[in-house]
This record gives sequence, C-alpha cells and structure tokens, in this order.
Amino acid sequence: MKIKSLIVTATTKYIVILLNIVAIAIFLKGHNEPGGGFIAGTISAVSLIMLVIVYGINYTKALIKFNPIILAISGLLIAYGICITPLFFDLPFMFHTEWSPMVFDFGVYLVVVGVISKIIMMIEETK
Amino acid sequence: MHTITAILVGLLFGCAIYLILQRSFIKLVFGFGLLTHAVNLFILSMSKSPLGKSAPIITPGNLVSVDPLPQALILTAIVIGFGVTAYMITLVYRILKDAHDQ
Amino acid sequence: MGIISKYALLLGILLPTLLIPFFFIPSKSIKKYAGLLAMMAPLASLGIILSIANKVGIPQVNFVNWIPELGIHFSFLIDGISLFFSITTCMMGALVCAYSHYYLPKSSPKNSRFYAYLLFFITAMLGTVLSNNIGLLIVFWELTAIASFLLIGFKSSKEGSQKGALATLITTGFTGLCMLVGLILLSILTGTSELSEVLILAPTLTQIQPYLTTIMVLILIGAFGKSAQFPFYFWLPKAMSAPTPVSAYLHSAAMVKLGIFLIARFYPIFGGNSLWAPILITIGVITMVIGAVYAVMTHDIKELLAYSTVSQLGALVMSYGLGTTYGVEHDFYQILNHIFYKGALFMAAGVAIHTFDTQDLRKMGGLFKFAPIAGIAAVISVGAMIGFPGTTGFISKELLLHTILTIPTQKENGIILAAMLVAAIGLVIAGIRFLTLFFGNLKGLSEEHIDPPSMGIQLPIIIAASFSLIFGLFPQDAVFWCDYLRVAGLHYPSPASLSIWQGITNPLILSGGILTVGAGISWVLYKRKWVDCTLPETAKLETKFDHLLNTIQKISTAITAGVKTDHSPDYLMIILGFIAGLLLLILLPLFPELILPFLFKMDDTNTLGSLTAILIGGAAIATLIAKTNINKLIAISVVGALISFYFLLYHAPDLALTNLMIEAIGVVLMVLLLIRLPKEDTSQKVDGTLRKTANITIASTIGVIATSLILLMTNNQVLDSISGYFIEATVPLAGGSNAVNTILVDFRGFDTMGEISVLVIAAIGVIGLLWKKGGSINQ
Repeated sequence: MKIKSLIVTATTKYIVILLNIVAIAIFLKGHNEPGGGFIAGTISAVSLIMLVIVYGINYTKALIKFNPIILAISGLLIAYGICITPLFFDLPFMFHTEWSPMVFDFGVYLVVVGVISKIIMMIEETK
Repeated sequence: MHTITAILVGLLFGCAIYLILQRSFIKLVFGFGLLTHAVNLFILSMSKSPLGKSAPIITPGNLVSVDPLPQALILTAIVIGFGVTAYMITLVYRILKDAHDQ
Repeated sequence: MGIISKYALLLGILLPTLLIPFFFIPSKSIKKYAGLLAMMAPLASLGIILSIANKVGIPQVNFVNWIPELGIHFSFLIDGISLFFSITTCMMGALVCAYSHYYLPKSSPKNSRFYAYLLFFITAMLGTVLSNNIGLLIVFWELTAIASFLLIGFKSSKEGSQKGALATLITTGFTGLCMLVGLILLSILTGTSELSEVLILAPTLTQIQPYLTTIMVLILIGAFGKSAQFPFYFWLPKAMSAPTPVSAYLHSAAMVKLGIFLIARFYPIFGGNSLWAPILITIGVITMVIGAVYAVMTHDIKELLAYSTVSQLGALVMSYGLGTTYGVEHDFYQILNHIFYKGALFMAAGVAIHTFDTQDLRKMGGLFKFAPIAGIAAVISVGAMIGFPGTTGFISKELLLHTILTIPTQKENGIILAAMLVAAIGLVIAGIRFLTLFFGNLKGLSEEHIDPPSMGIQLPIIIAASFSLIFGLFPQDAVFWCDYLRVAGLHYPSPASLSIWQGITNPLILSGGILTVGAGISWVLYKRKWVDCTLPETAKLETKFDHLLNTIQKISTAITAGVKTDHSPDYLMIILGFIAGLLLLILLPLFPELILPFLFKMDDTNTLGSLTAILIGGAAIATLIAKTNINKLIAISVVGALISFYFLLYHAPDLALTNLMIEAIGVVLMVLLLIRLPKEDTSQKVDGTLRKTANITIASTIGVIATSLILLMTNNQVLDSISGYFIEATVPLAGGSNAVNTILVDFRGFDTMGEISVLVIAAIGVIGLLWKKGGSINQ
C-alpha cells in the first residue's frame, strides 16, 4: 500500500515525530500517571505503521535501518536481564530498586514496538 | 451500569461464538476479534460498578479508586490478543493461499 | 572455600557446553580445526575436576545453592567412583573429538552441530557421574538421554537413524522414569536429597528397610535400561545408525557405562540385599550370552561391536552381582579394559567403513596394507576383547573366572561358569571375524580406488589401544592408580595384587581353552563358508520392539479414524456445545436465587453508559448481519472503538488508549489480509437449517452463561477482593501512583515477563508462517 495524496505525504512525517514524542512522554510518566511501556509501545508502533502505509515498505525499511524483530528480542533480553540481575547480588529474583521498573518497562516498550511493527511489515511485504 | 455491562458481555459472547462456528476462516478471525473484546469486558466487569470512583491513580486523599487489577490484566490481554490475532490471521492467510495455489 | 573454587567445579562440568557457541562463529579457521578445538574442552574439564580433587582431597562435596525449596542443589560428590568415570569420560571424549576431526567430512556445515551435541553430551555425562544431589542426578541423567537422542539421530534424514534415536529415547526414557520413582522414594524415606547422606543413612534407618527391595529394583531398571541389559538391550544395536565416532563414545566410555556407574554408586546400600546378587547375576548372565551369540550371528560390523558391548556389559553387571558384602575387587580395571578396547575397535571400524563405504563384513577385508597403525591397534584391541595374554582383557577375564570359581560353591555356580564360557567363546569368534577387516584379500574395491586413511585418524585409535597393552603388561600400575579411587563400601579395604603370570591355575587353563575352542570354531566356520550365510531377522528381540511400536501406532490410528470428522468447525461445535451444556447444568439451579434477582437491579444506571452499551450491542449484531467482509470489518472496528470509550467510563484511561491503538493496528492488519486473500470458496459452506439452529443455540447459551456468571460472581462474593492491597501498597512499596502500571512492572512483573515472551513467540510464529526457503512466501 502506498498513499499518493500530497497533504498526507507532506504531513505524515511530522505526525510520526509528534506521535513518538507523545509516546516518550507517556512512557516516562507511566509510573505515576496513565501510561507505561505497553501504551507507549502501541503508539510508537502506530507511528511506524503510518510510515509503512504512507511512504511504502521500502522507504520505511531504509529509514529505520534495522529489523524490528531485533528490537523485540533486545527488549526481551533487557527485561530478562533486569529480572535476573538481583540474583548476582544475592537478592530475590526481580528485586526492584528505584529505577529498575523503568528499565523493565522499557524492555516491554521495545518488545511491543518490535513485535507489532514486524508483524505488519511482514504481512505488508507478502504479496 | 454493572448489570448493563453483564448483558453486553453476554451479547458479545453470543455474537463472537456464532461467528466462530461458521464454516469460514474469515468469519473465524472476526469472531475471534469480537471474543477478545468480550473477554476483556468480562474481566473488567469484575471490578463492579465504576460509578462514584476515580481512576486508579493513587494520590494522597484519594483511596476510592476502581479496582486496578482487572485493568492490569486487560492491558496485557489486549496486546497479547493482538499478537494471537495476528498469528491467526497469518495462519488463515497461509492456509487459504496454499489451498488456492494447489 | 573461596568463591572461585565454589563455582569452579560447576564451571568445569558446564565448560564443554559453554564452549558450544564458539563453534558457530562463522570463521574459517575455527571450522578447519573444530575437532581439535573441541578436544580441548573435555581435557580442560578434566583438569579442573582433578585439580579440585587434588586440592581438597577425596571424598568431598562441592555445594552451590540452586532450588533450596525443592532440595535441589548444584551439589557434587567427588569420590573414587565419580572421579574414575569423569576421567574416562573426558579422556575418551577428547580422543573421540580428535577422531571426529578426521572422520567427519571436511567443511561440512553440519559439523558445528555435531560438536555441539557431543560437547553437550560430555557435560551431561560429567554432571551425572559427579552429582551428589538426587534431583540434579535425574536432571543430568535425562540430559544424557536427550543428548544421545540428538547424536544418534544426527543423520536425521535416514530412517534407521530416526528409529534408532527413537528406540534409545523410549527405552532410556522409560527406564529412567522407573529410576526416578526409586530415587524419589529413597530421598523421601531418608529425608535428604544428598547422595552422600543417603548412602550413610539408608543402611541404618529402620523405616526404609521394608521398601528397600522395591527401591533397588526400580533403580536397577534404570541402570539396566542405560547399560543395555536384557530385556532392554535392543536399543544399543539400533543406535548403531549414529555416526561412528558417536558409537565409539556412547558404547565405550559414555552412555552405557552410566548403568554400571549407578550400580557401583548404590552398591553400599543394596549390596547386602538378598535379591541383589540373584537379579544382577541372572540379568547379567542372560545379557552376556545373548550379546555374544548375536555378535557371532551378525554381518554388520557395527552391530557386531554393539552386541559384543552388550555381552561385556552383561559380564560387568554380573561381576557386581558376584561381589560380597565387603565389596568388589578390580571393577574399575574391568571397566577400563572395556572402554579402551571398545573405543579403539569402533574407531577402527569407522576407518574401514569410511574406506569401503559399507558396513557388511562380507564385503570388507585386507585393509592392513593401507592402514597399518589402525590395524595394529585393532589387533591389540581384539586381543583385549578375546582375552589374549598381555592385554587388559586377559587379566580381566582371569579375574572374572577366578571370582566365579571361588564363590562359596552353590549349584548355580556351574550355570554361571558355563554361560561365561559360551559368552567368551562367542566373543573370540566375533573378535576373529572383526580382524578379517584388516587381513586376508582386499575385497570390494580395487587397489587404486582405495583412499588410504590419513595418519591423524589412526592416531586416536592407537592411543586408545595402547592403554589396553600398557595396563595389560603392567597391571600393577593400573591397580596402583585405581587404588587412589577406592570407595568405602564398594571396594575391599586393601587391594589384591594383579599379575600376568600366577602359575598354572584353573582360570588360566580355562582361558587357554576358550581361546583354542574359539579359534577352532572360527576355522571351521571359515572353512565351510558358514560365516557368509544370512540369518533370519526375526531371531532378534529388537524386531519385537518394532512390532510393539507398530501395533501401538495402528491402534491409535484406528481410534483416531473412529472419532474424527473432516471439518474443524465440527470439533469447535462439539467442544463449545459441551462447555455450554456443562456450565448450564451447573448454573441452572442457581438461577432463581443467586442470579435472576440481580438482572433487574439497575440502581447504578447512567445514561452515557447505557447509550454506549446499546451502540456496542448494535455494532456487534451488525457484524452478524453484514453481507460483505469489508462491512463486517467496519462493524467490528466500531465495536472496538466504542469499547475504548466504554473503558473510559470504567475509569481506565490506560486501557482506553491501548485499546484504541491496538484497534487501529488491528484494522490495518485485517485490511492487509483482506486485500491479499484469495477468494475463499464458500459455495459448499452454506449451513443447513439444523446446523444453523444448533449454532444459534450454542452461541446464545454461551452468551447467557457469560451474563449469569458475571452477575453470580460479582453479587455473591465470598472472599475479599485483593485489590485493596494494590491500591494501598502502590505508593509505599512500588513508588508509583499509577496502580495499573505498578502491578504490571512490579507486583505482577513475572506475568508481564511471560506475556512479552509470548508476544515475541507470536511474532516469530508469524515470521515462520510467511517464510519460505530463500525469502518470503511469494519469491
């Protein structure tokens, strides 16, 4: 799919940037106000999907340069990593400090973005 | 509002199951999508009536909040539901494509 | 103990496995020297284990916490038995790695996988023999089964490999389960899961004495399964479909010695039991004779070796049965004997198979000229196999004969001796047949077509074989080393001396007789050309195993054919109909009092909520009525969007936002699907009236059940809700005021971890479905 409307192609890039800023904001304040990794992840994924729909799959691929599944897997590793780290300090599994929930949530964010955009891109590529 | 939700969940379940029972893959996918909503609302209804309560943002002096646990469960369920639906859609695609190609 | 030495042993055991990723580095030089690099791993492990043993002395226990709640720890017992088996495992492992380096086709992409399995197997072996914890022992024991399954089935495209791997897994898996029960019983009854404590406690505790025989039989079944004893021996010849280096390893030092290890390990507990000797001797004797007879009968060179292994294992089991309550003597010497000659013979056979490209003994011969070193090694090893003076085999056989002749005489004595003689003569014939590989006329190939085996491939063979010769000529040295590994309860307090010449004794006369008769029979067999005749396959027990498997398969196929339908929706209908009926049955009596009164309790109605609910309901019904798929899709998106709003009414901003986003993505996904989908053939899928009625009934019943369940559960709550805890604890414990988020990442973070894993798995599934070799589906 590729949309040829001038207005859409001209505005989408700004909307995408805006969406990601919103996602970051929602992610950061997630612990105290509505938001968090899951929501921010879906918003970022939506922005990537907008790129795919408006500018086409090849452009998007060239723009983001890496395979989204790598994003997902590294997110998974970050989440796992922060969970098992306390074990090395003789603390229980998933022992949280002040900042570690944020890291865990970041892992969640990466997984959600990676998985959703990978699935959509994969299907978009299939003719 | 609680009773209304209960009836609504019943209706959604009925529609979803009816679609799933059809002998068509596409309808199965649609039915499954509807079923996800039905189950999410089902879990949400466990927090009883929301009237007169606030969102689960706990600030000092605000302890009359809705039940946060169903919400947390649904939040992951929505995203997982998407993953499963996507998998099912591709599965259906693959089945129909292979059947078509033969 | 310092932190380093605390983990050093664990590291030593895991080292071969930890090195696996190294072999998958796409580097030419690693690929080129893969086998020689792999050889370093078991040697390094051995070095670590020995240095720990040397530093602290034996016996000792090395303890690292793992799952204290279940009494499972990384607890290792370093004593004579475990050290002996670790040494043999590592040394043979190193030799086999070196041999594989020359045996496997150069630069084959599969090689990395081979070394990975092999090193994994070495780790599993080391873990098993060193475990001091019953749980850990079971874990590693099963890992050896898995690793051997992978190794035996390495040539996965061949049917024989598949069958062999499966037979191994089924047999050792089943017997392993019996052992599991026995070990758990032992652990429960003694109240500890540490073997070192069990070994001390078990003979003294009175409450376990009634169960001791049951436990013994269960553990022995496990040992018999792994060590290929009657009636489980058939997996061993089947496992011959493995690559030859694997056979050399599995059937000399590794897999099959685990059963012997288990018997030795538990000897102090069960050695005095009245059934110990009868069981071990009976099974051992039967296995010994069957193995020897089949070894003579087969024409397949690897099968010949496999059956001779079976026979030799039977002899080892028997020798443990012949031990007294004080213990056994020189068992390590006998095991060493078998390990080295059998390893060497398998590797020599591998050279021959490589050269002649067949496994049929009748089509091979005269290899000595092209592989003299392997030939010499084979001669020495066959000498050890048949008990020729000057090799370990000779002394091993003398010892066994001596033990049999000196047991306080019973009437079974004669039977055991007779069986021993039959088995020994059978092995002599088989050994001589093996040597025809190297001697006699060149068969099968003309001289110029022969690709002479390289020097490197013959080196490990002669190394393995030379041990047979050295320890055979200087048995006192072997005894000297084995003396260090003496274990209380298993061995006599002081070693008896060993020597080649002990004067003309009864065992010597018998040994001479065995060799003469064996050679005589071989001469007759060759003279009359009886060696070349084909024997019926049905004479072997393993055909019965195949038959059993086939029967099970047929029965299950028949059952499946009886109950299946061809349409998957039919299954759905049955399943959902059953659930609906069952739940309705349970809920029906509750309707009048617990459900119906609440249906009309509309005290909390608000207009906005009711309106939204009605809209959602209308959209949901529209999905049923809509004719085209696109219209249905639109209706469903309306449902999703309105539900986001409904979430907002429930004060769930997180949900509303997520649902809206996911709904948008879901619509994109479905549109992408719809425009790509080939037209579904719906002509034959029009439902009849009956079917339609059934569908509507099931669907509406489930709808009613859902509503009733909600009303029932929320209005008749028995237990207190736990959500109060989260609301109160979110700020003080999790430091965040968004209770939903703190539940997700903190309180129930473990769930979230599982859920993101599921997401990634779903994505991998999608990738797999849309993938075809060489690119995506359409290319």
